[in-house]
Amino acid sequence: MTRSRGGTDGTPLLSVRDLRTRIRTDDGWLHAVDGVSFDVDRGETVCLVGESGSGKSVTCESLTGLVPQPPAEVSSDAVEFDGESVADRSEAELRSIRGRRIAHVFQNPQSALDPVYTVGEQVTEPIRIHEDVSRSTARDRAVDLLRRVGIPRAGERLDSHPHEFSGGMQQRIAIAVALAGDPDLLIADEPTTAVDVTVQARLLDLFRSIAGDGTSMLLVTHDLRVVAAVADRVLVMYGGTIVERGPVEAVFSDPSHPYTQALFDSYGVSDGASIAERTARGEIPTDGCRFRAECPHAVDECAGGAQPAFRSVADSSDHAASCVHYGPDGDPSAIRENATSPMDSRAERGAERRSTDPAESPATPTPDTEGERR
Amino acid sequence: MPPTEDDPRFEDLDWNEIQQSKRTVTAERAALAVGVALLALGRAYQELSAGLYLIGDWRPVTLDWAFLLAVTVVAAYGAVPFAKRLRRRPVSLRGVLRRRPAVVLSGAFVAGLVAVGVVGSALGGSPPLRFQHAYHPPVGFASTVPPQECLGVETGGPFDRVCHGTWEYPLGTNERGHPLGFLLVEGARTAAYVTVISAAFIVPLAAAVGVVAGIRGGVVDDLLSSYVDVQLCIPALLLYFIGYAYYGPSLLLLLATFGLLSWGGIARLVRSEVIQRREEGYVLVARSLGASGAYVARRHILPNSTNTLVPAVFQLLALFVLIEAGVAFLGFHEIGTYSWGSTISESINAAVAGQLQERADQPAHKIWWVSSLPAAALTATLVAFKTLGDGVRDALDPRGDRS
Repeated sequence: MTRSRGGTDGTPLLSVRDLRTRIRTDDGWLHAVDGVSFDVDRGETVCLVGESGSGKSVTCESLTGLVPQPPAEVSSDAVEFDGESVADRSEAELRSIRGRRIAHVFQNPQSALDPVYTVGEQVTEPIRIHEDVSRSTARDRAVDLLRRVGIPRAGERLDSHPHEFSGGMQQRIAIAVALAGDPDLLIADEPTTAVDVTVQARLLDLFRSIAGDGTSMLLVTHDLRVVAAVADRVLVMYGGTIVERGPVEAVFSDPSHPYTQALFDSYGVSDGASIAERTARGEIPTDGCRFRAECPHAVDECAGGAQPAFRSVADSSDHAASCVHYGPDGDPSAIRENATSPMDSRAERGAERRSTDPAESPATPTPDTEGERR
Repeated sequence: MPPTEDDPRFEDLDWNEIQQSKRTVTAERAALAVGVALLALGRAYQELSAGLYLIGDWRPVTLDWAFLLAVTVVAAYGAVPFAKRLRRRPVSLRGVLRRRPAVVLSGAFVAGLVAVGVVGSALGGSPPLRFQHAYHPPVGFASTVPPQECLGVETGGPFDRVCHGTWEYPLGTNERGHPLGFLLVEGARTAAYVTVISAAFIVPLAAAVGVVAGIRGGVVDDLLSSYVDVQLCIPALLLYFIGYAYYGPSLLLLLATFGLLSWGGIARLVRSEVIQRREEGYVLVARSLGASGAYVARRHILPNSTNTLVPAVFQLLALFVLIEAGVAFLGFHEIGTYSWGSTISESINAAVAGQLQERADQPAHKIWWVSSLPAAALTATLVAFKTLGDGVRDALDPRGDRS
């Protein structure tokens, strides 16, 4: 079975239009995702950033119907994957997409692996769910996958159970599970959050190598270093809406939405006041610009109606922010003054980019000792 | 980038080969099918043949067939997966024996119990009544309540005869002259019937109800849970006595009433465990890989609930043995089945009520072996089931290094 990768027909691999997910709670409907539109091109890595509770994870889980319905309700104008609509597919049709076309990696590696099965059994689970393979075929495939994600002595470790691996190794195995079905799109939800910093760096190498293999990625994170290291494009989410989008270089050098600026400032290098200092945290509004309650530039026009239309920032048409100040009547100059790039990540990124040049380093990260048997 | 040696290509897989090897015949299903076919053949043969007896002088009744079917089910879904597991990950018997001697002993005991259940019925019917041989003491002991005909060494005068144990009756006899060895084996057979039939038919029911209620939640959960709650309020013993009033004593009736009314507790346990497990990360991962709800339940939720399920099941089986013995002790057991409970009770009645005039004033402790040997067997069975339950739980849990 062959599937063309990086198709040239110009349509994005994943195209989402006006995705809305609301969750029924005791206090009424909670609009977790409130009109999100974005594209993921073939071979592209898109990062979804934002603070906790901004709707990043729910967005990801809504795409393939993983959000439990009820209590959640997902609606959209269109969710198209590889040219086909996935928005109103039956559960059985969605299942045939999951794992083989779109795979997920989740935040917590400790709970992502089933403690009762060996690593080898879990890595081949996607194959076993969708097909039924002979044991030796599955085993060979599992060894290849574990080697690909950088598990040392993969052949010997197949019969180990998850608890015999460290957190970083468990996350690698979870990634191997996701890759087993050879997905076109890998949705990784905070894959580096639950592991320590040195392991994070190695996992980022792994993600870069996966992207290098041509797999598209939608990466959820609130860690800007991750964004700097792997993203092609960035989507900044706040209160269930995307407030700024653009190529990673443009967004990082020129954060244009007041929320993006506040988010970047919170990472420290800037002298600017943190979000908490700027304004007391209130209830996030459910209409207009969601950030207006905390925004130092808020004006009356921010309230009411749908979120402000996306306006391109500066001269780049790809880089756009959802802020009234960039509209025809607005004056963004007051905001532009605050546009400080977060940390020195771009320099770091440049260095990493060079070091992962495919010509110089193999696709597989060098096996390391982080997961030695405990 | 060019594919390197370490970069496996999905296209390399031979998907035709993969499709063809789709397995619908598993060892479990094969074992079940063969067992059921054999049983059906035997049943048909018994139905059609002129003779009353199937093997030797064994004439199986409904209960025996139910037991054999239960053995087949337990073997197919208990022993076969266990053997598979052992083949994949061999465990040295000596190592396990050194680390968990109690569990190995218990396992051997329970296996022996079931074996006695399978083989014992075919070995022969009840021995003849020999009242003249009543109350032989076990070998090595002497009795001051001697049988009319003492087969062993007899000492003392004509009014204070003392009978010593004989190898004719190594464990002694009861008031009918039945050897205790036979009574213990028959009691073991009854215990095996009780446990295996409950294990095969009650446990799947409890697990299924618990898993369905836990996974589906909502209305399904409410209905099943409230049904279980109502069911737990009905006293099984009372129902057995009502049935007894209509159909007379029957082990099958006992198993049906207690079995069908006692699984609620396990279903509740499983349900609460499942509700915890379904929120685990690996369940979400399995769903994200395209697994169906049934696959997730069977492959992830149930195996992760064994920590709760297995000890509870073994405890329930032990309880069933105890209940059966209790009912038999009260005398509501089937005539012709020799339960440990009825053997214990008869020894006490015999001495206290005194069917035989000259023994009326003899206290029960003088014929201690008739009650204490079955009581010891009963105790050993209960201990073995509980120990084995814990051992199986640990063996199923890969994190437990103790097995």
